[in-house]
Amino acid sequence: MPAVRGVSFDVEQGKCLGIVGESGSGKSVTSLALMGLLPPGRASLVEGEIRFAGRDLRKLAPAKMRRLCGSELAMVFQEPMTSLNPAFTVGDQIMEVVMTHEGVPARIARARALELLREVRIAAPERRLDDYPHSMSGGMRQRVMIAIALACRPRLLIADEPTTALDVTVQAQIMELLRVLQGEYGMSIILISHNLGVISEIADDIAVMYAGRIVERSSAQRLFDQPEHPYTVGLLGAIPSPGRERLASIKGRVPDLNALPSGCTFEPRCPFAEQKCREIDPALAPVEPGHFSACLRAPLEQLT
Amino acid sequence: MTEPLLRVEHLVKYFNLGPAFSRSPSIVHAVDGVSLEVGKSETLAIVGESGCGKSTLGRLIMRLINPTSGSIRYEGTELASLSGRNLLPFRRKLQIIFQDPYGSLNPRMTVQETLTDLLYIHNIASGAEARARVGELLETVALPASSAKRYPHEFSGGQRQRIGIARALAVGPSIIVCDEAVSALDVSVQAQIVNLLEDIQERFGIGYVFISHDLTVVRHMADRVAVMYLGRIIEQGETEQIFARPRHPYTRALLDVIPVPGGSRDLERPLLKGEIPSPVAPPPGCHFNPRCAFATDRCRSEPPALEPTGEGLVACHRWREIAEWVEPAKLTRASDQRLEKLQSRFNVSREAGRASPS
Repeated sequence: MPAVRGVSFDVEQGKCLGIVGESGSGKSVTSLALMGLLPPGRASLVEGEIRFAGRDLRKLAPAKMRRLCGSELAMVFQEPMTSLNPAFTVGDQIMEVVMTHEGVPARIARARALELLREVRIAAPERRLDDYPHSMSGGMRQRVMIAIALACRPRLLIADEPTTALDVTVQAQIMELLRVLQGEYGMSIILISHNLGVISEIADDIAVMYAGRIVERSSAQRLFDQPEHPYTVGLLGAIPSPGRERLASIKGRVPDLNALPSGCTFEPRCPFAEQKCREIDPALAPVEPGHFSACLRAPLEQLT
Repeated sequence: MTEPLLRVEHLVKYFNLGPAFSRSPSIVHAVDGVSLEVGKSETLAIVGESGCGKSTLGRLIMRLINPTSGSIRYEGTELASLSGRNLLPFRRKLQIIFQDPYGSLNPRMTVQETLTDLLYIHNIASGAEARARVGELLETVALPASSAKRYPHEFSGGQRQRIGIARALAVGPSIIVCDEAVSALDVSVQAQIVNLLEDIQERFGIGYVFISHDLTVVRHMADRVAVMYLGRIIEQGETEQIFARPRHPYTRALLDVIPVPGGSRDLERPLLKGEIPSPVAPPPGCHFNPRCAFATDRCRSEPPALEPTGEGLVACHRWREIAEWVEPAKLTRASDQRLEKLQSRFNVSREAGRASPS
């Protein structure tokens, strides 16, 4: 079953790429593949190239990849409670990363852990260092996860739904933190979310995924102003906004990855589909420089 | 004034979290003196962050848990003191839709069994009549008739929520409590369910108590909004007023952080600090004071009462001054004709009452 099919994108130094899509669109599988976290063997076959700072990550020896993960590439997950070990204090868990990757003694790692907690704006970090994850709130745990991810000053941070389980005010705090830290560290971010509003907060570029593919990719501003794929148009119309009487509803649901429709995968749900859409599976093609859409009917101008 | 469909007054629910028979009980004031009313065809949204007591309030209204004190009146009848058999007729009038429909459907019963059971228990219909009614219900929530013979696990999240709605509608309620009913759904499915809830309201004149943390959906759905913080309503008013002229600093802060696609947050506006405190030991005075940029000594000692502002109700000592100082955030994004035209091609037609495969 192909979970992700022919996905290509690049992230520039210091920029943020937002990947948006609904459940089952393949956005998380993409991020796991980047980090080499998919279980090896026959269960998952990854093909293609992942070039990071000029090196193909998929050709690296496992030991080398391990060193790279956590130091130059880091990841933050949705549910901090399942990624933090409940049996160790947060200080221990941050120190472990620092000691593993930088080979420094515990004393120095502890000082660094304290500094990291301060950097992610945890109040009274001296007291929090010896706390266990369970005694922290969701927002604070996510800050700890970010501290761990930042421990070795990564060049690329992959954040997979980092705020989904959090309250709106805390969500705003975490997004603000990511934005500020990105500036301070000069790192690149891949932000994965189902929420276009959240993506819009910090993304420079956006890729929209549908059924394992990127169906549209452009700068953030342009994607919101002039979407060129019907799925993006529908997604934007499905978000409640003032003055919108009725929400656009994309009929049906995401196709089963085992039984993808022939032709364009969005065709059965698309109000603009015509005969050729049932026959040809469109590739991501430029509509304008820097703006790509996988739609035979793009530009959609002619359809209004 | 005519009696509204549902009127809740000074509703209080305390939970004792401490060990049984302890001399120093650990009391949580989950709902602390809440009053509200909901009329026919009206949507009252209850918004707030996790731990504010909004779900407890929903369960109290449903009498799924018993209030510590206060009154819940349905068309003038006091429900708070009723129990058991006497409550049953009112269970038909008040229904609830949960966030996770899977958790509220019996996995070992087909949709038809779940629904006919309900009709039988409430003495509405049985046998062939009940089966016909199930067909109608499925049509109302736009599920194919073949769904009747299937089990909950065979459906997608959006379809299960449709079953949850059919289950609530089965007994012919006048009030439905929607407890985060669309929160767990993907955007496109959420839009379908929101549209469906609106159609059902229009068709049957049902009043919704719409509990949600998602202010964009609330703005779209609600006629009136009540904002809760640590068990108390801190602001209440017409949706238009709450979003255009919020009076309470907490409401303002909530509006400031709504992520708007294509528009980014005004970076000049300071974010609300910290997180909602533990309801076991709420701060004295105004519960919001430790996070409030405007708090004074009075706010730290004297709890503000909910008072009329001329447009709505607000519980803040300083709302008048604050209203003069700070403009509320602008949330609108210029509408775009091209985009609207394209979006109008999507299925925006009425859905209820007509079966369409989904």
